[in-house]
Amino acid sequence: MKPASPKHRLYMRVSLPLILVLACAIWLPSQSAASNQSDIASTAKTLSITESISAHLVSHLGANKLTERGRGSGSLSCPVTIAINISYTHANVTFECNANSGLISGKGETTFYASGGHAYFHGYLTVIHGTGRYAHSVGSRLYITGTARRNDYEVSATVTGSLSL
Amino acid sequence: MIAPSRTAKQIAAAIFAAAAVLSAPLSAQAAPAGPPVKLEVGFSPDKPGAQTTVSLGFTVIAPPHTLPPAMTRVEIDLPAGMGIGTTNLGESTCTAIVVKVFGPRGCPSTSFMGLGNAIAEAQLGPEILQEHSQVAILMAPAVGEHTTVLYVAEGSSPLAAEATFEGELLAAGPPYGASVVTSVPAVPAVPEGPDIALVHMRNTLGPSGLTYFRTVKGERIRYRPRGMVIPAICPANGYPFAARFTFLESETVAESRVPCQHTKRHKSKRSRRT
Repeated sequence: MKPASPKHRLYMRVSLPLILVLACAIWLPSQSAASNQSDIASTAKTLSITESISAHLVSHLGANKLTERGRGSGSLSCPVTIAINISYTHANVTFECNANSGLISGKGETTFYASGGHAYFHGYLTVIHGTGRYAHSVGSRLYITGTARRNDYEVSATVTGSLSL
Repeated sequence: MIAPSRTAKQIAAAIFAAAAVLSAPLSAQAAPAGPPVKLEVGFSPDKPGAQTTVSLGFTVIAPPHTLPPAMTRVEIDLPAGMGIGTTNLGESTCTAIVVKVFGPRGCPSTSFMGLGNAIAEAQLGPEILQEHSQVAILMAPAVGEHTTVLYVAEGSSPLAAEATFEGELLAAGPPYGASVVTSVPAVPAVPEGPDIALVHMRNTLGPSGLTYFRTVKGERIRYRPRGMVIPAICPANGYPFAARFTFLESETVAESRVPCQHTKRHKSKRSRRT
């Protein structure tokens, strides 16, 4: 076997530690991420939600900012307060669901359009605050779809999605 | 500081040159300016925070004895802070088929959202004829999740003709809240002749002139629908409206504003000064 040249030896001396450092840099974060994921999986619970909401107008600011109160029935079965800020083609929604085991509030944006006696909306809600059982709840893809009766602003909506508790 | 090498300068120059070449066709694609159009808008009553009837009108200005090009599309931008969904204008819908068979009178009273008039011009030989029409704006079933209205123009003189076209309410960027986008169908005055040109239209959108009926316990009750509410805070230069009129080969943009109404307090201060 031919002995390694001084140039080759220098190359080996520089490249071997570099390869080791790179391997550690790739392996260690992946290990810690895996352990973090297993921690979350062991502690987090996911609650699948299907909630039907009926609410009626309690106050309004002008014709476009409505506050509605009603009740949800389904996974959470909670008294609900919804504030809707309606534009021509979209609506900003904030909600508060006051369940026995805690409170969840959130907000979102929906499409909005009218067709005859009803207006229709759908979009996604994000949970921004919780107390009690829902103190650490996370949900950013709660799908809301519903209708508003245009003569008295009675709202019917369904919220579906999942909450991480 | 490291001075850019000659190669880097050459690359930068090449990027600028490429950008210039790429942007050139875009600027060339801009439609030539169409005939001037006067846009007229108003609120009645005009009081911030009050329900109102919005009036929208336009007139195409063409040299005398000249037929302006046919309009193919109109987009009217409405001010932000208002909305149709929270009114009960158009509590029922009416379809183009019902209009075609029975006329707008065949539609429920509760589908009417506004009224107006229009003038179209047609070249017949050396003469330009004007066709006057009554316009009804009706709530139509939503198309593609957009609030949709039908414009029905019924000609009265010299021809008894009817034209129906659809307008959709689409999102618009600030300072506007939405845009009513309407495609105007091409109607030739005579077979293979030039299309009829829409030269004037004035419509209302709101309760003015409308009466709705509903039956409660067998009794027919009449009522007025609720109109859109004027935003309580007036923007600095008034409530903005804009319109883009697309003609066969050209485009015209027009803007207008409903000026802010001074409050009684302001008026009294001014009157005290004078």
